[in-house]
Amino acid sequence: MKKLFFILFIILNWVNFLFCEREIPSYIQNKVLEVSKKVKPAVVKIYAIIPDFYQGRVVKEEVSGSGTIIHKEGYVITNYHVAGKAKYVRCTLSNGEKIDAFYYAGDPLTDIAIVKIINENHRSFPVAHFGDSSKLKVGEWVIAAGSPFALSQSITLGIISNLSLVIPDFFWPFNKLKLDGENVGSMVKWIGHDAPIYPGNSGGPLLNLDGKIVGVNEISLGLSGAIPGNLARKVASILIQNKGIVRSWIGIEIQPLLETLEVKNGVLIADVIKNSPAEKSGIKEGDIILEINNKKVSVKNIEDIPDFNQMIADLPRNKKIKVVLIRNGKKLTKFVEPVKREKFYLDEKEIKKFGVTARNISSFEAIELGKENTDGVVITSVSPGGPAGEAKPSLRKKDVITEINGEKIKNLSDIFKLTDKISGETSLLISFERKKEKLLTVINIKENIENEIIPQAKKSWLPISIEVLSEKVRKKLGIHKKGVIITSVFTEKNRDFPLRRGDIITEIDGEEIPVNYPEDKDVFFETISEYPVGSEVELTVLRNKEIEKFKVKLKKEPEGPDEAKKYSQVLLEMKVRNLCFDDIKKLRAKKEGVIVEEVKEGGWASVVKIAVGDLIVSVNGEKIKNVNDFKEKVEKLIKDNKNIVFSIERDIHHLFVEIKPFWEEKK
Amino acid sequence: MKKVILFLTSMFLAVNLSGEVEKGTIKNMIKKYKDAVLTVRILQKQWTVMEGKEFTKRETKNEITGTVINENGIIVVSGFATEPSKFFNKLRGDSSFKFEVKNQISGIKIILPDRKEIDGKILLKDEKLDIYFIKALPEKEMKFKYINLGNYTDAGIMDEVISFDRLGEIGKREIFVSTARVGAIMEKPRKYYILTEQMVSPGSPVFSISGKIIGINLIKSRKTSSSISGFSILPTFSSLGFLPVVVTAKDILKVYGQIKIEKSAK
Repeated sequence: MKKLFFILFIILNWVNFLFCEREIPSYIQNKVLEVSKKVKPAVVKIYAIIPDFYQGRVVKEEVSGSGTIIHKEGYVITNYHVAGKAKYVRCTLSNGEKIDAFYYAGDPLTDIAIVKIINENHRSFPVAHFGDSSKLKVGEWVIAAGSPFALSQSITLGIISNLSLVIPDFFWPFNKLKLDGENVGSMVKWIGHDAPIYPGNSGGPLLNLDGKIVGVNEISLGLSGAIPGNLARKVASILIQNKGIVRSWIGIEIQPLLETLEVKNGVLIADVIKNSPAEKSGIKEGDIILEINNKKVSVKNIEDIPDFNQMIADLPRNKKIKVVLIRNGKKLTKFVEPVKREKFYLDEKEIKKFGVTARNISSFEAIELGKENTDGVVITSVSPGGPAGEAKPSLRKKDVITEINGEKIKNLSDIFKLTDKISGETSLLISFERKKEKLLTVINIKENIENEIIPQAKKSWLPISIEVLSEKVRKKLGIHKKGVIITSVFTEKNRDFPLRRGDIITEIDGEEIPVNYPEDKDVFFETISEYPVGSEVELTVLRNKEIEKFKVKLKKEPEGPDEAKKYSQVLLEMKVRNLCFDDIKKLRAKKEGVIVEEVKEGGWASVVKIAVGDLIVSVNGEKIKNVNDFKEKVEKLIKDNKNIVFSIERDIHHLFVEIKPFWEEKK
Repeated sequence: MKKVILFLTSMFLAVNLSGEVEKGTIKNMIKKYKDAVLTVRILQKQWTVMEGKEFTKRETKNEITGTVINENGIIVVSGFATEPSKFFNKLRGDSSFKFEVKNQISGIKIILPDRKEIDGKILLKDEKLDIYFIKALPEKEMKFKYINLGNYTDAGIMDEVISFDRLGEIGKREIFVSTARVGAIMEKPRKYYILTEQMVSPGSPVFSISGKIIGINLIKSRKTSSSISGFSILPTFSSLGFLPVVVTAKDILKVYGQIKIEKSAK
């Protein structure tokens, strides 16, 4: 979803950029300066780490957005797609101060979230206030503030272009912005404006020239789109007060009136959800609602849909409401009792032992899956090489696990109870539903073999690096024989190894080396590797224009990276290995430590930008020599819930990285 | 990466069953050796690393051909076919831009002629010669049909040879037999045969028409400065940095000796 937001921003904003040149009157400029000065301290840049679920695992996704402090205790309003379900949040104030915060509450249906700044010292934060977005007029000047592309605070200027921005059907099938399965456009009618906004502006304020919040920037469809301030204020206030939002639901889907209908006012029922309050009351698809609780309603255009849905969401629950409708030209009255609206999708979890992510089934999802009830666990992603991905048939996204080893599975806790008992290798009989089919498979749970060392066949080797002497170089040097020049010698100077840097090897055991081009250097090493380890070869060498012959005892080639000892750190999602000869020859000075071999995308090591190939030389200030040292030190820090600081060498640079893991992930 | 393998495989897969070989001899050879040529399924994670940053891992399965060389289920497969990413990096050569394709083998399955699947693990690899030795790990002890590499023979230029391969899943993994001639013999620094028609997958055995093993089809590769601008015939592969070759049974046995040495050392 976030990617869709991003793509929409990028594709459509250039149009905005190209055509938004206009002259700005000086009094407007003065106002902008005034507003900027006034509101800037309340606008924050938000950095968040949010969980994402794909390929059978939970990954950490870094998100950057904007927000506005709306309460002096440090409540920040932003978008749900910026901070929703974030596991870590950091706010950067306009003066550059970084303060940790946490995800407080959110509402995917309106894409509003509240982040709370951790305020242990009971500071009073500067705030921005809401204006009345219902009083906005097309053509009115507005200012968008925030941190586009995670830059420091920026503002852009524009005018209100449209007060009823919706994503038109023209964009079908991409005309829905969904968050956690919720269609944001079903509840929100955006304020369209032409103050340019970019990825990173999300959640930032749209301000009028009085410096009041009249919108929360969210999307860009060529025009920028902001959630109306009044809706945002209402949702934010409920979220701050109740840590959540409860809406009413009657179970209908609507669409604008058809042009061919005789009725020119009303709301056309497109669908009635099975077992919903609407169905129970006798409402049917094709009915046209005229009144709800004696209030006339009408949806003639898609722009009218969000207002109607908001009205339904605000209906009192557990109390019959009167619905007047027309069916086949006859007026009917029905009484519907709204109920609490459920979340569309429930929260996902990772089932590590199966290599899948999954969630419990909400009533909405049960309908989507064509299920009669919410029993079972629905798979949301599968690791193709994991136990569930390797099963035959393999589990797939949208499969519903209903039984394991003959025991009924009603929800995720049933699965976790079962998998917690598993240790070592085992196999489980899984009963699952795929659309209308009921299928069986077996999941084999096995030990991970990923750190297994695979030995390399050992060949004879010389501790040197070489380059081929090309014909042109040979001519310039006045050398008539083909050969290779030694560019480095990787051993201490001693009598046992007589070769020196700059020596030109022209023969091996009296035979010419058939090399002409740089890529031929393998020929030299291949020839050497033909000899048994420990045997002696006679090398003809040109040194200072003199021909010399040296007998050299061939060594066994050293261990390569594949054979070096490895360690995978599960919590940090990285793998390190001991230094091997290939690394040592690249280093400028003698070093000790471990080489980073793998950094899983979306893991902690990835979040703090540890790179493959980095050399970790110390952990929390203590030098490390090898994988054993690294493992011992890191595991102790994790056991003690202590933050981890690595000292890293990367090419010619040195840097420190700090990791503050979520300790609950240790479980 | 997949395209390279697919392309190679398609070049290998061209049926030619004519010439000097007697059909009766072939039938006997099929009877004798077909169960020693197996399909091996490699499951691995593959990902790219650009300037030290990893990008999304994909888990892939590929099926390759292997030749069983002893009764305990030691199978020779091609490293190029097993871990194409390693060879991609090799072929790519040096560049100032740090880009690498990485892989991690996460499982190996040996598919027996009766379609039963058993686990396998890599015992030893020789990336230079493209030889990987896989050990089958049956749950119960079993004896494998095998091709005795010790009973090898040499081949001369334009000699006719026979290869055995296994068709993929769509071909129900049937045994696939084809013939070719020795088009070239490289003598130094080691002996390789290059066949006129590359009909089969890397990892498949090559026999003389008298039924003696010559070697195994594998890939010789090297860093190259040539750019990939087109393809058509065998020499083009060579200029791209890889060449289908037959590695002699003698050379394979030499490397296999290291497994024995390591075992006895333990």
